[in-house]
Amino acid sequence: MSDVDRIIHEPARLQIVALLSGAKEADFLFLQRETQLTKGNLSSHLMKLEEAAYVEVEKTFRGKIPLTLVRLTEKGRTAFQDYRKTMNGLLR
Amino acid sequence: MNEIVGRPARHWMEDGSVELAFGIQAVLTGAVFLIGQISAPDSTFSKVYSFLAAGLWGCVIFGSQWAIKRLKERLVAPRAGYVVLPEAKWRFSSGRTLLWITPVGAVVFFLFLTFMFQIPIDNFRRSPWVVGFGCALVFAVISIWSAVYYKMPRYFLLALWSACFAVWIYGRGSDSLGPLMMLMVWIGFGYAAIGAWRLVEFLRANPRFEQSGE
Repeated sequence: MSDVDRIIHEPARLQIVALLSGAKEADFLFLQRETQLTKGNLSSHLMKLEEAAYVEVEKTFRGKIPLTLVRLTEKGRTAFQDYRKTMNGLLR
Repeated sequence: MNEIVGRPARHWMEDGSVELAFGIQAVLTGAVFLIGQISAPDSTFSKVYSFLAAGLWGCVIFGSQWAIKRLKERLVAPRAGYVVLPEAKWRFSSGRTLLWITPVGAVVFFLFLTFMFQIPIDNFRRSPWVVGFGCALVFAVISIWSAVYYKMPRYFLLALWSACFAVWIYGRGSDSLGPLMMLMVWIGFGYAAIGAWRLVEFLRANPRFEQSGE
């Protein structure tokens, strides 16, 4: 169990990383809708993932509306793949 | 886990705008080429139209791409968020992919040869409807696969719609009108109708986020 990545292992963050692994990038609203987390909760988990350099957060505008785009970094993608391998190995 | 990873792809399809745009594109494409086939072969209209058709078709393709982007930006993104899907990566090493691609590819390639080069099989040359019939069946199979893979039951309706065309063209038999173009129009109507119905349902179920009180 010591091999398990604790940053990804937390259920909400695992869901965020799994969602982002199926997309090139996604906005905050999509992640909030799919994870059913509150804005504050989602922000806090994204911050932790950003600190670990697993995601990149870009704040921009669509017209006059603020838009927060989130994408998985190469490090994050690799970490997620490794996590899946580790978990598959443990559950086998 | 795979279910969660697949959600962005399903999100792209869930509002019906993809089907709506593809349907309109297919109807217009079929119509553009059917007009060319209906017009008298040596008339001035036919000669001018043969030059115009390719341009019109290009406008239909690019126009529908533009329309789908605008529709997503203006209607879908403020309600359900915005997702960009990664570029498709074909995994030819995957046995499951090959299992699907090989038979479908073989049928499509065979129908392409039959249609484009009129390969010397007398029965096929005398029966152009077979091309439309075969393509309709391929469409039906692809629709069933999409319904299962993307978990979208409405694609079963599209499979049924394609199968109806196969039955109809089988009953109609030989026809001088391009069966592929008729299939395009038929399938296009099916896709556009289902896409529009789904889009209306989606817009009703998902009010604009800033108006939802959250």
